[in-house]
Amino acid sequence: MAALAIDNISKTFDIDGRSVTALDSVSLDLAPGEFGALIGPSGCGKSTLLRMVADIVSPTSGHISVAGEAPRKARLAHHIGFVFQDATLLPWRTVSENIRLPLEVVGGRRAVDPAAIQALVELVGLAGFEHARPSQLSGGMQQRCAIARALVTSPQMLLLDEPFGALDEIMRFRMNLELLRIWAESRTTALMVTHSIEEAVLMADRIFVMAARPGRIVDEIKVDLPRPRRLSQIGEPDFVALVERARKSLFGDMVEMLQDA
Amino acid sequence: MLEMRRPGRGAGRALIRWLPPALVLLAALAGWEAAARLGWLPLTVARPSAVLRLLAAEYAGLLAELAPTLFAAAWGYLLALAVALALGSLAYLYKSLEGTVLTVGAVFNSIPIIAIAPVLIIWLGLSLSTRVAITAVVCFFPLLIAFVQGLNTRRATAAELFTVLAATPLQRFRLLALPGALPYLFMGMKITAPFALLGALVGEWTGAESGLGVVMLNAMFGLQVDRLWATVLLACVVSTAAYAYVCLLERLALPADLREGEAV
Repeated sequence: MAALAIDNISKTFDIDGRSVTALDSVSLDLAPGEFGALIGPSGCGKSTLLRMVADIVSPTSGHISVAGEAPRKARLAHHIGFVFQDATLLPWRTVSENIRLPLEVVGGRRAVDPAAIQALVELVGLAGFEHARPSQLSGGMQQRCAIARALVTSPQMLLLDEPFGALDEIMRFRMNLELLRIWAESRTTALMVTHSIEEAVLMADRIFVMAARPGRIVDEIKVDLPRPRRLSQIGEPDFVALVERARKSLFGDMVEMLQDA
Repeated sequence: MLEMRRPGRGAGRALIRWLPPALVLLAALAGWEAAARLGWLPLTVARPSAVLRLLAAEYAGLLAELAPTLFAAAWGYLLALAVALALGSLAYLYKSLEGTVLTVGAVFNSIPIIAIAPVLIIWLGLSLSTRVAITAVVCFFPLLIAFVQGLNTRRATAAELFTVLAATPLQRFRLLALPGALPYLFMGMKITAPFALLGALVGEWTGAESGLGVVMLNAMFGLQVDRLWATVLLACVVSTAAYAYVCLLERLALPADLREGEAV
């Protein structure tokens, strides 16, 4: 059974009485433990698609299943972890209090195992900062805290919405590799939205290239680079070829858009 | 953790902050004293030195009169706070009630306190309860508005986070809205703290056996100018102290980066 099955999803919004198609017949599957990347220009509906999997937004038509369950059921069963573009930590809570928040929601304060929280703190490299509050952390540390929070319920599906979009390039590559390490240890299925081609190639097993107006998947690229991935792979011919392939898929849409304009 | 300051610099900063207003105040008092001695001011304006002398001589009696005023102010403030917290929470948890709560609060607030006082006296008599009620009426609405605004502050992605976590409305309230509302609530509490004394004084003017407001009225009708100004000074000191006390509570309750607009 697929860990994630998105089947023929469409989404239309009503704007000033006009019906606008945000997503048009989108389908994709992820196998258990697979890492997928959604890449596309702004406004192609990639974040909307991610929010549908998390049952934050509902599709107009089509069907989604997360490990065989409807998104609502998966969400209510706490099978979904979500990392937002900004860390969205609660500023009045410390690092470890932020990480344990999902557990408090699931089962009250008694369900929290301090040792498990500490293990996660160490997994995301925040040992020594357990009692720091978000305002005392750098952007990268905040995002690592948010990743730990998303993992604390051991979700079957990890959804990442441009998690490192706000970071500089050096920090972003470091975080990419750290996330891969964390993902490899937790063995969850992951779907990440990004608009960085290198990031998509570096991290994913498969890249779904999207185009805008209407939002749709125009290409699917299998990334068969060896794991664990390393930064040194970025310059290698296989990597460069995949980046070029993804760039062509993306630019195809850009050229169309420019001709439309 | 980040709030480590070198003590010398901290003390220096405090001096820079407090010295200019203190000097301005002292200069104003000195000018006032001089003007009064030179006979430039009407007799109804007391000399600062005379006021201080009266305070030194009669502080025990004045403090005894202050006690019931403080009592009414404190209980009225706490009553208003409790009602504002209860109604604000209800308005958050049952969105359909919000409009009603705020509208009724606004109407209630727009009635002049001097107009409401006689009604309260008819209901409750010339009692402590009346003065507590008047204080509560004065304080209630700013507290409610601050609390409701704090609860409803837009936290778009945090709201999505709580959706993904499948939090119940009560968990959303307890874990997200309520802690997020605290800085706003403290802001309201700071603004309202001096109102509490105002309410208690107005309550005493409408009729009481003892209290700072009573001393004030008697001094006014007896043309005891020094005594009147002494009560005014006491009222100022108490108001400021109430404000400072809430600031202190805020400091204890909230770390620096969560406080809204540090005033003092």
